[in-house]
Amino acid sequence: MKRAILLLIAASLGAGSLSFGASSCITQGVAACTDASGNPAACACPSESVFTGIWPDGGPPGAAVSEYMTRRCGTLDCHGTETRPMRLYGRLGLRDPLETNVSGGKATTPLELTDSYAAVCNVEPEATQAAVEDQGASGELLLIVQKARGIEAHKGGQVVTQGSPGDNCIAGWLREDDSATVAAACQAAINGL
Amino acid sequence: MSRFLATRFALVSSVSFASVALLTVAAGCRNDPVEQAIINSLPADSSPNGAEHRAGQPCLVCHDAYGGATPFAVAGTVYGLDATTKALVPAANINVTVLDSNSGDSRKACTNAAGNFYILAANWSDLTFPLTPTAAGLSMESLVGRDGSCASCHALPGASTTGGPQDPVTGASRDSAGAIVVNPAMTDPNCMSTP
Repeated sequence: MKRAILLLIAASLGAGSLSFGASSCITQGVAACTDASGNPAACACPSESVFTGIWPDGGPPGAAVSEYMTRRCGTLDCHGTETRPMRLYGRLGLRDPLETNVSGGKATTPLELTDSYAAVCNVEPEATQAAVEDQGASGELLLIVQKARGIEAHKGGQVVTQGSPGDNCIAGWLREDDSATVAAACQAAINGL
Repeated sequence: MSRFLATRFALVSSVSFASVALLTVAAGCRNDPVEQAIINSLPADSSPNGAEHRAGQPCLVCHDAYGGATPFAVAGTVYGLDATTKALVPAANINVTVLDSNSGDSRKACTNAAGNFYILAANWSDLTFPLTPTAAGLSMESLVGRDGSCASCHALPGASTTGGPQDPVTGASRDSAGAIVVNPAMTDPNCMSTP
């Protein structure tokens, strides 16, 4: 009897894990969260334009967050690797499998920018949404910032120091700093590479 | 007699146990399936072990603590294009400079007849990343994030297995920048004098 109960519990846990795995499976785009009414909705993430640099009106002078991140983090031996989490695409790194470009070839495409945005937002979808909901107050607590600063374990080591242009580029975007400030920080960070 | 047999059995058992323990320890040194799979997948090379062997292959796969060969900090192969056939040919006597972007420290190396160059790990123990390499005066457009093996990203034509189009000359593909190609005439006189 005891054994039957244990088996039942184990089976329930297994089914639960399976259904969790299936519902959290993401093929493309930003992960699914729930909206205020409890309905499934794409997880909120800070400004896509500030990240991708695609603005309807041209945007502020400077560089996009993606420009800095793909250059500093998205090299072919780091986050430009097919098998690594937070996969970044770009001209000098990994190219999108849905297109036919080669590394070092044509400019980074809009699809690659969108996919990189989704990759960064999907590192911690719920926590990122929470950062959006608190207007960036918890932005610096996200893994992207913590790993880049070397506070959390990161195979690539410490990438930025707090308050440096690179840090202000990534954390500034997540904190929802003014877009011109973020773009200027990203440009300064790129110049320093 | 039976005492003799018992002693002998105990001795043999001890030796066997020690052998198994030693084998386990030895096997434990090479038990990384990821690194081992990369080593196993390297194409065969007919040239003898030495500075000119395994050109175009990721050097640090073996030249690191796991592989057991003399550890390198950075190593790779530099090519030129044959003027007639446009095929890849080793670029010898090319100066390769690797800059540590964090510390500003740098090291120089020269390519040999196979186009190979290497910087010993012992000669750059405080190396950090990212790196900015320059070969024959040409700076790499992107950075080296963490892998000292140039060929991990600069795979030769046909080496990439992810599918998609490939540059027929350099082998550049979706996940590879292709071979490192420089002007083979841009030799460094200082490299020529290197024995």
